[in-house]
Amino acid sequence: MFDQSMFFQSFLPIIRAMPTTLILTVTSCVLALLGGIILALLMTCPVKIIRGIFKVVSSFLKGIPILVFLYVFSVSIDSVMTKLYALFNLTYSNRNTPTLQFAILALALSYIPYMADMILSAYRAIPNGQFEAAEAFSFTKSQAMFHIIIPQMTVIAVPNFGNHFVNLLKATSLTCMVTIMEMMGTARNFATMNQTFLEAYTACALLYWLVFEIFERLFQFIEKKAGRYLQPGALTRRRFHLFRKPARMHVSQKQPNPEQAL
Amino acid sequence: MIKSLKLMAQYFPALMAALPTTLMLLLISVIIALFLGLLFAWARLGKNKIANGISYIIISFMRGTPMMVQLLLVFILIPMIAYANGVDTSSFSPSIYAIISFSINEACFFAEIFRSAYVSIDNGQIEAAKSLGMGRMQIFRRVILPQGAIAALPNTSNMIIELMKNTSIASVIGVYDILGKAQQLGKNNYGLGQLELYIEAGIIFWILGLIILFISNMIEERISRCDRKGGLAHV
Repeated sequence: MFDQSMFFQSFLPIIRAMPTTLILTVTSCVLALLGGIILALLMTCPVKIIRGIFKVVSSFLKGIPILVFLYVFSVSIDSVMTKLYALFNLTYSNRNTPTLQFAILALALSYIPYMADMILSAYRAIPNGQFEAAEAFSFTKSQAMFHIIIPQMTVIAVPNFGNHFVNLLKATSLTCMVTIMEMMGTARNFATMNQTFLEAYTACALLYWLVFEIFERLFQFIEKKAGRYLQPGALTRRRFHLFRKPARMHVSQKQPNPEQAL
Repeated sequence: MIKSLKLMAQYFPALMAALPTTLMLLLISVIIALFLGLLFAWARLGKNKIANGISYIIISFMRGTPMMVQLLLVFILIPMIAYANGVDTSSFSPSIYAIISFSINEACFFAEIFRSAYVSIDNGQIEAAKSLGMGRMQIFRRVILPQGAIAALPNTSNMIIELMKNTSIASVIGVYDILGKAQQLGKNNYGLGQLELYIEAGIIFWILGLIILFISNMIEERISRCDRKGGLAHV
């Protein structure tokens, strides 16, 4: 019932397809992040009508399954590309359709509202005192944003971002429905070719599990590293570094730093 | 544009005929997942190390693999097991496999939500209930469930909406839910009006999600009324 040699044989083609999965995940995640920043800005726009419109757009994008996005994109790919090529007076041949790029767009589009929500919630989590302190130091608005607010937002957003990244990794398996040969598509192909469905799917599931665990551990590590200044006693601990002389107390007592006195 | 809208209106009844399938998939798997999720959460919280380990591995696997792989695995594995035991599965509807796979998958996410909701309950509440002489089931029903439900509801409703979107994956194994129906109608027409059909299916999914969100907000308001200031006065 379970053919072990076929099980081990099916690992190799699936591992070979792993780069495609990773390319899909990373590029669509970056695109979704960029789109999410724009959507977050539009959703907090001072003009009420624009804000309302983009809130509806966000809810609309959130409510549509990824599979629908993929199908819509794969159906409209030819007509869109023909029009695009006609703009530059070129003739489009549908022999090499850019399916991968369209799949990346579809995945990114479906994750844009989640990214926007992540950014907005991180922005709202920053206490008002930080803005006031920046203003008190006569920072300009962009200075306050880039030196104070965004570094803190990044730390708050990392766990959420890791979650979305990992979900996107799983969602890339749907792109096999629009003829992209990533891990799932290769497994299906291999299974149909050799009539060993159970073995190929089990191997595919195990490999997905492995990649998922690696990325989850990675994001947990980044979270720990990025948020280390949030842990109690972190700033005092850093002073007693292994390869550096500990600061002498009486020196700083004799000549107090003018900045510290402030 | 007008032609597309006309086409959409023409296909609308046929797509709505597939709505009960989607709703049935969603409802049955959510109900099974609620019970299974409680079971997994109980196993994770309990002292039995074997049950804890098994549920940890199941939850990790279900969270770590795509729904599509799980669905296809269930679709292959269950007929094999049934065949080995002398059961003929050829007359089974594919939605059975979809329900099995969705409910196990959803149960694992629910288990994590329930576990964190249980952890968020103050231990003093349970001790107080014990000191009043309540039995274990009584404590669960009167103390843990009402407070845990408030903590778990927003996440649970989010997961239900996610599952509603993910039921569209069932079309891969030949369940005629909304997306499967849209695909079928498009192919019947030699690919004409496919785009409109998919967009229409997307809009139906969106409206379904909004309805679920509305219902969950209503339930949340109802069960968290004792959490509000002076809430106990108007119970």
